[in-house]
This record gives sequence, C-alpha cells and structure tokens, in this order.
Amino acid sequence: MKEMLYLEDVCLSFGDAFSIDHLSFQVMAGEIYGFLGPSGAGKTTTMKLLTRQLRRKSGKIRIFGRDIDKIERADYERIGILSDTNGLYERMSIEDNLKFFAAIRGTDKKEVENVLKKVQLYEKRKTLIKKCSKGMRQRALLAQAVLHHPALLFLDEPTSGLDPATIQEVHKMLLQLNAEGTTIFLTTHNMEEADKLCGRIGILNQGHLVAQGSPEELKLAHAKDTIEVLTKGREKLIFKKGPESAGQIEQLLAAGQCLTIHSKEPNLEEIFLQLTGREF
Amino acid sequence: MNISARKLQALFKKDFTDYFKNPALVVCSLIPLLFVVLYRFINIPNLQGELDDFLLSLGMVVNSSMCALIIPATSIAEEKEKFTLRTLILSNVSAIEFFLAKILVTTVIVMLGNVLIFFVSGSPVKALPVYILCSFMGNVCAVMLSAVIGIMSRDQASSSALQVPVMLLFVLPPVFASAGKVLELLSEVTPYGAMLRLYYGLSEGGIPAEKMIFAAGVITTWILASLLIFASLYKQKGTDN
Repeated sequence: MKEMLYLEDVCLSFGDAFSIDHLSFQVMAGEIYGFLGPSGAGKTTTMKLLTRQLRRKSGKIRIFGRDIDKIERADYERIGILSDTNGLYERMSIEDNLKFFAAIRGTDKKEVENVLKKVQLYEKRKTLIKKCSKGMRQRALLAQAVLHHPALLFLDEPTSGLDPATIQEVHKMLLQLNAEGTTIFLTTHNMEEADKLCGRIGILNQGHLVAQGSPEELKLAHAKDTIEVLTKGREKLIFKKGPESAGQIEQLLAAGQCLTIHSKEPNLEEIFLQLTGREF
Repeated sequence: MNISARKLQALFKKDFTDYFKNPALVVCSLIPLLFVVLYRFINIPNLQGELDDFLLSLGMVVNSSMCALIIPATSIAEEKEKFTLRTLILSNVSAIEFFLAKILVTTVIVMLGNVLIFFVSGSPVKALPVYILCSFMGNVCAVMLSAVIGIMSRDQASSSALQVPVMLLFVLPPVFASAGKVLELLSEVTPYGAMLRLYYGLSEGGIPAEKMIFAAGVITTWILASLLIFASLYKQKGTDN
C-alpha cells in the first residue's frame, strides 16, 4: 500500500509550551484515519502542519511520499481540505461558488452538478450563501473540498454543528468517496463518528499520540479482563477470564440460567478517558 | 513566482462581478462621477473658463482616492473576515494570484471611472492618452497601498480606520494646495498632486521641465515604496506562523 502521509518526530511550539510534541504516525492510501482528542489537544494544529498553514519546528513530514518542503504545487491540486475556518462567498449562490472553485481547480463544471446532488443541495443550488443554514453551508463547503476528486482529503470536524440526519448523509458521502479511492484524514471529537468511519484511529492528548490502531484493536487492547453474565434471576455475575471461570459459566449454561454473556470492551470514549483522564 | 493564468482569470471574473453586487463599493465609485455631473450644471462664477480643469482635477482625485484606496483594502479585509481567503489558499491559490486579481480589478474600475469623468468634464479629447497614462501612474501606488492596508487589517472595520488617514494625506494637499506652504509642499510630494502636475504639464505645458521630472520621480518613489512594503508584508503574513 502507498504511503500518503508520514510524520516522524514532528514538534511545534508556541512560546515555551509544546503544542505538538514528537508526533509520529503514517496514513496509507485508501484509509480513513481518525485523529481524535479533546479541544486543545493539537488536532487542528496537526492538520495545519500537514496542509502547510503552519511550519513545524523540527521533524519530518512527507505527503504522497515527498518531503513537505519539496512538494510541488501540482501535488497540492490532489488535496482537498475542509477546515473549521473555511468560508464561501456570501453574495454568490451555492452553485456559483462551486463553479468558481471548479474554475480555480481546473475541474469540469459538469462536476458541480454531480457534487451538488451528492451533498443534496441540487434543489437549493441557487440559494445565496448568506441565506443558507449552517448545515447547508457545511455541506456546500464539503462539496467545495471534494469537487476535484482529491486523492487525499483533510476534514477538520466536518459534522460539527450538523443535525443527525445531515450527519448520516455526510457519513454516507465520505464512505462513498473513500470507496472511490480517496484517502481521508479526519479530525473529530465525536467518538461514534470515528468508530463508524475510521479504519484506524490515533488519539492525541496535549500534543502526544497516546494510542493508535483500529477501533477494534483499541477496544480489545483496553478491554477489561472480565466477563459479565446476566442470570434468569436478573443477577449480574462478573467472572475473571480464565479456565476456572469457563467451568462456572458452562455450569450456568447447562442449567439454563444464563440470559446474556458479555465480555467488557470499552467504547472509544471510555478508552480516551482511561488514557488521559480528561473529558471531551 | 508561479502564476496560473486560469486561476487569475477565475479570480478576476469573481472579483469583478462581486464588485457590482457590493452596494457600498458601487456607491463609492458613483459619488465622484455624480459630483462632476452635478458641478457641470451648477454655475460657479469664479471658475469661468477653468471649469473643465476644475472638474477634471476634482473628479480624478476624488475617484482615485475613493476607489483606489477603498476597494482593495475593503475587499481583502472582507475575504479575511469571512474566511474566504483561507478557502482560496487551501484551494491552492497563491497569495500573488489573489492580490494581483484585486489590483487588476481595482485598476480597471478606477480607470473606467476616470475616463468617464474625463468626458463629463469636457476636457479636450486629444489629452486623453496623457490623462490615462498619468492617472494610471498615480493610481498604481494607491492601489498597492490599499492592498497593504487590506493585509494589515483583521476585518473591514479596522481596514476603514486605516484607510481614512491615507485618504486624507492623498486628497487634501492637492485640493487645498493654495491654502498654505505646508499643504503646497505636501501636494508636491504626494502621488495625486504629482499626478495632476504631470498631467497638466504634459497636456497644456507651462510647467517647468524640472518640476515635471520631480513629479514623475515622486510617483515612481511612491510606486517603489508601496511595492516594497507590500512585498515585505506579504512575506511576513504568508503563513499562520
């Protein structure tokens, strides 16, 4: 698999405090990589480093296998970015905005119609941006970011402030884009979103990467060493994993006393709290 | 420096059409023209025989100051305020393409206004090429300085606060040059005063060659100075660092 993003020992400081502290990870082609962490953990700063809005103090960054300092302008045409500080032209309609960005990107204007349909804004394409709701603006921004079929897509909290129905639509669209070959780097503090979309996750806390892996790997790695059995008498029994417990559970099963048997895997939110002791 | 003609064309088209959708900027461009039209039909006794020159000077200075100094600064500040500048930069538009489009659009709008003012003022058509040349030179530095104000400003309100002193410095000395020695001196060393002197010297004569060379030198110095300030600020503000 081709490497899309690579960071090695990347540091960035504002004043005396490290904002990003010896950060290392890589993202391969075709992945949806989730970058999780609480507010102020350094997620957006990392995204700004990767998109050259900020310069690192030390360390190596490669994009598409090339040193970020030697990357050519044409390579940046293969990138799409949706950041929390993007805006669209308020006196222009959604469609005119997208046509303008299509001209900037050198994309066929027919793509505007396709992408408007994908984000479900085709019927409202003539609406001026200043008259759009937050959800419509966010979808229009997403449309702008994916208009040119980027090979690598950076999304900074793409569903922040959206209603559940729109979030579902955005998730569907992201999965479709990924299926079409777009690698996605997604920052979020929505654990459910990360669990649903991401093949791999990195958890960032105070500029450090404190855990990395697939959601399943992380859950298993932080699973409790216990099994919970609910009996017919509505009694919760906790067994420590091991041969001794296996015999006891078998006896309960044979006696027809078991209603449910669960191993205790934490969700991503619990894992984060376990790792950092911080709240979201 | 890498400039994409496609991106520059798209930015120019967007900025030009957006100008007509912004009532504040359209009114800004119409005021000088309306002034000249109004004065054309008012009988001003003291200006008999000099009305054409008065209207041309007034129109050119007011149009140049209002449009050249306001449009780029306001437009750049608005792009920063509404976060569209960041969307452009993240869409691989270089800062030089962004600023060049703003400067070109403003220059076209200012020059169109100046040409209309020239015809309304009743000036002789044979002076038009010299007029276009002089008003172009006088406006280049104003447009660049306005772009500098746009870079320095966080939003449209802070941009307005910076525009006013520059506008006063550029407009008042040539208009009130006869009121005192300080204003006369300021008029000689600011671009619009030099622009008027150069125009009347070239089109009507009667101004000594050394004064015309000095006026051309003043405009060139302002253009170079504004370019230097622009380049230095552009380098400093290139990233979030």
